[in-house]
Amino acid sequence: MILLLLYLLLLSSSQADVVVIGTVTGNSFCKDELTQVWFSKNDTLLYQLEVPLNGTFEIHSLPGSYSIVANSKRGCLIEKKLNLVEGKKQTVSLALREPNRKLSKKNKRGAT
Amino acid sequence: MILLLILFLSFTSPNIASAQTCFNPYAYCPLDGSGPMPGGPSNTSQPLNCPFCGPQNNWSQYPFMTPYMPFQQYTPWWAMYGSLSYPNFYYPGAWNMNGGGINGGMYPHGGGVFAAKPNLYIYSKQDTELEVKLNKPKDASWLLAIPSHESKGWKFTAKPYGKLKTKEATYDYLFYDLRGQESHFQNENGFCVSTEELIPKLVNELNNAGFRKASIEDFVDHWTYKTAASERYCVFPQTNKDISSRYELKSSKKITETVRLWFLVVPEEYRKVTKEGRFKGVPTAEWVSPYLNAKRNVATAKDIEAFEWSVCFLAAQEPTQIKAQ
Repeated sequence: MILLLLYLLLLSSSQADVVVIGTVTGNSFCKDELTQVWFSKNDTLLYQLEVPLNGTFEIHSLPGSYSIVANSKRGCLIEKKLNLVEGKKQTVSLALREPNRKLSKKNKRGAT
Repeated sequence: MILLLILFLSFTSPNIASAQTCFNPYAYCPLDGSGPMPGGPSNTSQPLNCPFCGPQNNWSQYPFMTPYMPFQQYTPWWAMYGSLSYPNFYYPGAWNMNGGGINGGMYPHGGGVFAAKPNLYIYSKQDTELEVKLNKPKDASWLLAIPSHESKGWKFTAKPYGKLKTKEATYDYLFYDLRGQESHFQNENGFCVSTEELIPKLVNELNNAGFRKASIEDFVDHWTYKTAASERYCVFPQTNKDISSRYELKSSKKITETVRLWFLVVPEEYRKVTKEGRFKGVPTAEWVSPYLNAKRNVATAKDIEAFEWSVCFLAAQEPTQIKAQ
């Protein structure tokens, strides 16, 4: 019985990895050929990937909560939170958004 | 106005750097600016890369403080974002300062060696449809692949000048990360170098092996920023004969020439704390590149060539081993 419990404990401590299959896309502004993808947990960078626009990537990680960011030289950026569950393959689509260059009406300064 | 801003930044940046606080007592950054922590580099009065310090710490390093900066020709655009967003940006991954290696607990299990970023460049003088698959040992783990590899492998058209076109996108190279066992790699032949010598020495070996200029530029761009800071490194190069028996690249068409060169880099800090493992010592024999005097035929239109480089790091030792020291 004790051996069985120890075996189960051992099994539970070795988590299987989770596979994330992703793509990076962009609009007419965000058309840089290359993008960077940053995969992190609590601000610790685990992986940095160079992915061409419309390209695919595959990340293997432990179950848990992660942040994934894609950005490009023109300042386009997208961030998503991922909650990876053991035994489940996950897909993520990162559609780059152009930087917000327009000032809100409140912040616009009148001509002087 | 701009001049004033530059003056302001030039005066405030050193103050920002010296006022940093280390959140981890084992980290190498000095807590009060008086000197490095035990086990850290001894010849610096500046905080080195500190994976546990706040991202703002990296202001002191960007863009002129990286160890290999004199060799670097320019700053990649992503270095600014990375250095300001992630405290461990200047490391190849999650880093354990206690043991001078990758924090293996944050990655899928699979062994003590992290093969980071093997970049596989495939050259063909004409459009060639290819399927390439990497077969790894059962006791090694996948970490990354670009494009996605999964169980089927990579399917693409190799275009002239090194471009690889899939149905979704065009890639400059195939990319993957692996985690393997120490026993998969040779630990006898190698060399030890100082911080300043590391990247130029590795680049020299890539040149000797016949790597193309663009692939070497990719190497310099990445590893100038992502090699963990250390006073000294020992490097154990792994070549075709060391790698391919376990990490086999299978191709649907014959690859005329394959050059694989993985550098297993062991920072001095790792060797200071480790008591076990195949890489606790320095290389016992000076490494002589087998590619140096290799005869190469001029590639014909039908020839396919594959060149692959990687830098590998060891997983950090367990904290119990550190305490025992």
